[in-house]
Amino acid sequence: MTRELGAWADLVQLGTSQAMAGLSEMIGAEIEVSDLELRCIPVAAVSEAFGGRDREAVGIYLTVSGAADGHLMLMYEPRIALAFVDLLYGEPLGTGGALTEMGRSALGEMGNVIGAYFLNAIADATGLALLPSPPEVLTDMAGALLDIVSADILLTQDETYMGEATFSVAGQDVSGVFLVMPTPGLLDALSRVAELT
Amino acid sequence: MSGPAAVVRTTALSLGEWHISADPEESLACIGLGSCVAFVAWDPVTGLAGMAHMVLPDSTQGRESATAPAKFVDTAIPLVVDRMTARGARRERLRIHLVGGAGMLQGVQRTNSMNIGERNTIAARAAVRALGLRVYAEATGGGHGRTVRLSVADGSMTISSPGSSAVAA
Repeated sequence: MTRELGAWADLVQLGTSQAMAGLSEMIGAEIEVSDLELRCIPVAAVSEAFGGRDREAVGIYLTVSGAADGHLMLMYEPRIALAFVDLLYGEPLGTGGALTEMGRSALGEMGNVIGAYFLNAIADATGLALLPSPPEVLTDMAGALLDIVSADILLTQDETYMGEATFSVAGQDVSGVFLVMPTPGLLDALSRVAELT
Repeated sequence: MSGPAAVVRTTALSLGEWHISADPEESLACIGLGSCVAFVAWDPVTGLAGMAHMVLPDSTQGRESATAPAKFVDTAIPLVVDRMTARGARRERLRIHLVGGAGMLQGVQRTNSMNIGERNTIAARAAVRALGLRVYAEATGGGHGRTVRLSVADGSMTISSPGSSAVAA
């Protein structure tokens, strides 16, 4: 593992754990991160984590600004996104049959919480001030959603560090993937911090 | 009289990939295009088909890549056209389509993303024009993903989007 990946791995671990703590607080149920895998893979292969580019997915997208520009994208299969909406509204799983405006709003709020906790954890560890934008909730093909973040990365490199967390909500049949891919600008900023420490 | 050969296999192009084929049993596809643009070309005389899955508009703004040689619109389109003509296609016969280039973000981040889909589409039109060619038809823009498939056998094309059935183009 390169030093760069090592530093990034530590931060993703920390950020993910904090983000899940924030989400746990929001929905009032314990969330367990059962697996956190970090890999350096071709950008083009990221969609395989979602079963292919043509699979329908729900994305919660935020941009990052401040010490470095970047993107945060949370992506879920539609059934998982709907399960989160049920959890957020305190309803039994399976209550929501389709993603409504209220559901989108709830998922956006979830993106707010996860983004803020994740970036705060990185900021606390590195001193980098990173600010999330308001979230946008999107439903489309996984490949089309991933284009939003892939283009920036592919501009200068073909591979990306992908953090993939599998988590479950205690007592509930919900699991999902929390996908984190740093942009080159964010990695540069983190490398500069690492050189100083 | 027999019709076009049935498609036996599909070659799906990933980000930055291109492919040409004269195999009538093959189809070429770009799956889940968002802001990316597919360059699609077919020569009805030789039956030669070409496709590129392009990600970014301008090679001078980034770094070329051996593993994703078609990632930039301005270099991918001349590359595919050159390779097709080298195999016997004639430029003036090429039936060219552009697909994709969506603006996936509709909210506040739309400006932040610099509307890359629109820039890709504009760059693709310019690259086609620069070769002295014209775009036969395009399905670009909007705010949704698309999948495009091209049958090498007869140049027929289908475009599908989430929640819609495939439309022949």
